[in-house]
Amino acid sequence: MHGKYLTSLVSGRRSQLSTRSAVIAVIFFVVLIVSLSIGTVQIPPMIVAEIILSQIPFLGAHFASGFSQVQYEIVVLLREPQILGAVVIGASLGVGGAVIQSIFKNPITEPYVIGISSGAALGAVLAIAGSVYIFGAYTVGGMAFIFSLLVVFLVYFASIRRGKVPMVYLLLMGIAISLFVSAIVAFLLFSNIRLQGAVFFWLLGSLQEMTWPKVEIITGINILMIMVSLLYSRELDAFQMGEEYASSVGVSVERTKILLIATITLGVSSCVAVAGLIGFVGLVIPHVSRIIFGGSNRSVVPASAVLGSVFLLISEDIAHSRLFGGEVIPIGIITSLIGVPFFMFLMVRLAGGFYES
Amino acid sequence: MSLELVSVSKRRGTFRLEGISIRAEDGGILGIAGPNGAGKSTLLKVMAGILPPDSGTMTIDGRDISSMSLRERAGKISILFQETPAPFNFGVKDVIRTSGYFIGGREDNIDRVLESVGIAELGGRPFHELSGGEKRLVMLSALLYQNTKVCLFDEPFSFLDVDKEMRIARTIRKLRDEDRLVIVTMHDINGLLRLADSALLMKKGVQVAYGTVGDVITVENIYRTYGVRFAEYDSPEGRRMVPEESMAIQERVV
Amino acid sequence: MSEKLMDKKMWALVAAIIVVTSALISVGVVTQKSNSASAGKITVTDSLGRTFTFQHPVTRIVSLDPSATAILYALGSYRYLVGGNQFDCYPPHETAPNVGDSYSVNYEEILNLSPQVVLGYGTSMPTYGTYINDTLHIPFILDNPENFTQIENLTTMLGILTGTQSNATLINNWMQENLANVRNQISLQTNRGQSVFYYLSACGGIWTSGNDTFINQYFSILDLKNIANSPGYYTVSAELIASESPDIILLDQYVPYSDVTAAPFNQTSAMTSSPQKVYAIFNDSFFNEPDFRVVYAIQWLAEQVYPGIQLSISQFPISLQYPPWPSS
Repeated sequence: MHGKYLTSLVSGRRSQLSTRSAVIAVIFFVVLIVSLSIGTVQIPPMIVAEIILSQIPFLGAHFASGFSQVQYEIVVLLREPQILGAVVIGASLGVGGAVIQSIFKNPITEPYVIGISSGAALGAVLAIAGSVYIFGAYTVGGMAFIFSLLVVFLVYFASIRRGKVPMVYLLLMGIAISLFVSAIVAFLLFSNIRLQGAVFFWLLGSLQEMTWPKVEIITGINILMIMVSLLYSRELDAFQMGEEYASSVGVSVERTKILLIATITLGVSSCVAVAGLIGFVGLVIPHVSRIIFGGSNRSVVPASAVLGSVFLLISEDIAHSRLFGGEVIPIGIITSLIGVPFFMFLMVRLAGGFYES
Repeated sequence: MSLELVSVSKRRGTFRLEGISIRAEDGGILGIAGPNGAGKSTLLKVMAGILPPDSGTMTIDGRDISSMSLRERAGKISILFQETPAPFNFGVKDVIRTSGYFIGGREDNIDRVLESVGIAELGGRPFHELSGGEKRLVMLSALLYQNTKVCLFDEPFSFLDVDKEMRIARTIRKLRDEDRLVIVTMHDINGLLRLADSALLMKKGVQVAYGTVGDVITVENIYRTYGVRFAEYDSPEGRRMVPEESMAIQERVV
Repeated sequence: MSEKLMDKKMWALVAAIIVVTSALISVGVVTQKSNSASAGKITVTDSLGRTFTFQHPVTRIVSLDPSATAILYALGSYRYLVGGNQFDCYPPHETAPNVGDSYSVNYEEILNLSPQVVLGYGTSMPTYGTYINDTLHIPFILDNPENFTQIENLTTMLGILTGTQSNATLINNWMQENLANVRNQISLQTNRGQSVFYYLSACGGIWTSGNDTFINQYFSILDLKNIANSPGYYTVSAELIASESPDIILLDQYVPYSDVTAAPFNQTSAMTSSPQKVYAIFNDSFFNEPDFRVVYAIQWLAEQVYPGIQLSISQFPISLQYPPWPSS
């Protein structure tokens, strides 16, 4: 019976899909606005609205009245960058997951498997352990970014066999080298007790320390990444049919793979650099998109961007809400806590036979 | 239009394809046969341009395919693989669409190819729900959607019910009648006799015999290829081959 | 055709999101404020050597450092504390809101409290320190006292910061006077030079404190020999315990006695002597926090290690509602 549901999904009932797109778009904007009003310090939604309107250049002065400087700073310095960070990072991880899963033809991969996460962790730990300050306030993020790129580069080049990069090789190399790098990280952590707390929180992932300059950097990089992924969504479909098939229908397989892996690595690494390791999104959001919109990447890529954003926004709201007595919970914990039950529900209720064959 | 291979060699691991030279013309079906490990699939992938040859050339109408862009090549050559793909949650039409993505496939042709293969009713189904045979037919539709002059088939009849086998054979003949160049690998000698106009026999990466079906499929060539003695007999549908050993068994039973 | 339409809608949605995001960002750029500094009357230096200047003594303080909270209380500046932390324990009954612990900090609450300064603790600049300083534009003063002199320096610095310098001097003199007294008394003892092991934590290994820590200074002032002599806080091997066989084992409040009844501890001098010389710390807050109350921790430890010693600590120079000495 679920099969029939899915059938109707991929059969020409496009109006249903349009409705779903519209619903998700509405949810996105509602969540975006609601998120601005949620925090450990209570600010009435009307005040939040006034503050946002007051930021509009030239016209803003008309609204700049009914709020305090502190309220203004909480909204502008803290909430806005965190919320935009959630939008960008959610979209980046979602799209990254959709692309990597398609290239690998493997539903249990995510962007982190090619070395992004272990490399970033190594960079961050080196920066914190060695008290390195080469990039000033951006040292930890900068080092995380650079090491993440380095490790992915290493994984990729270690996987080249006769001018090609077989995906199974890349996956195994990614896992092997990641484990190796993680061992170095563990050693560094072990040798320095004071590091453990700070790094532990970094590894959990957090949007707490998002700033406007950071948001600008990751937005720039990730708009590029999402655009490239959208442009290559047809190639991704072909990849899912097999690399030889992709080649036979006109895809330059190796070139496309290296371009997409490089783009995803840049985008996702930039997010990891500023927010740590937020798990779950890259693995599961593409599946949610496939369950709702069918498997073609022309829908999955944009849907993963939007659903990833919505999901991370909701997680951020929960992390920030007063539910935990004023304490801010690292968002990486929330994503798994609320994401896993939701995903299990989707898998059982909506996926039909897709995961059984 | 013609497709020509001149002493093509290709190494894949320990396997070697050695000095294959053939010339096929449109409006004909070339059957490639040989025992397991003869290099039929490798040769077909070289012909499809997926595997570049280590030496030798492959040309279409005198143009080397290595000089073509991938999209141009995809517009000229299509291939039906032996393996069934397993994309995540694609609909049947999503699958077919992929073969026309890069050569300007038109959406309304999808229904047309589904109809011509006789599976219009599968158009709205999720690909993963189909049976193995139905999936093969969908992949055949994808090949038709690619709409190329050269059509390659790698063991298109393996593991199929007879009705689906007939549907594929019918489609292959139709492609020939549309003056396309069809190349099919198969391990069934009688199937080849029924379907092909010319034949290539291969063994361990080298060609044993190449020419018209009548010239190539002889008791002697079959023995050189398979190491098995076949006997020939005439049936109402034409010439057929049967391994002698199985005939002996049959005689004993009788 | 409807297929194409679908695509277009998706694209339009993504485009809309990008436009909104970019718009919000450009707005954010416009509204960033700058951090202006001016010459002032009060200047303090933190453990990283950074100097901070204020026009007047500060009256709004957030403390992420329990030691700093205790010192502020002793200085008479507790009324300036607008935000405390998870680990604050002295003085008891803190009413200022908790803004976090040494790992995670609630920035909204900090901004909401509008402090003039945030006090933090650690060997190096924590990421939240950078954030508070550079993004929230609130001076973040880091401290990390690892010996008695540095504890005095922290007290002096907080005295200057809150305009209670005279009290800071009183507290520092009291510390020096009592520590000198301890040294005198110890020099009269006969069984000096016993070896000691401090079992700090059993989480993921046998954690202890070695050289260059204020805890190690307790041992040196009491003429005890710490068997862990690498710098900092780290894990030691079971073999070290077995081979060094400390005369005294000191247990952190949260390490249960049962942990030392098994190898490698059960064969050590401390366990085999009669009576056993295993002392469980009476209160971590005195022992593991680098502030003036370490004087009481030393008194307690001296009384365990040198039975019969007569150590009296002079009256604390400032009258406080909650006395700084151990209550029992």
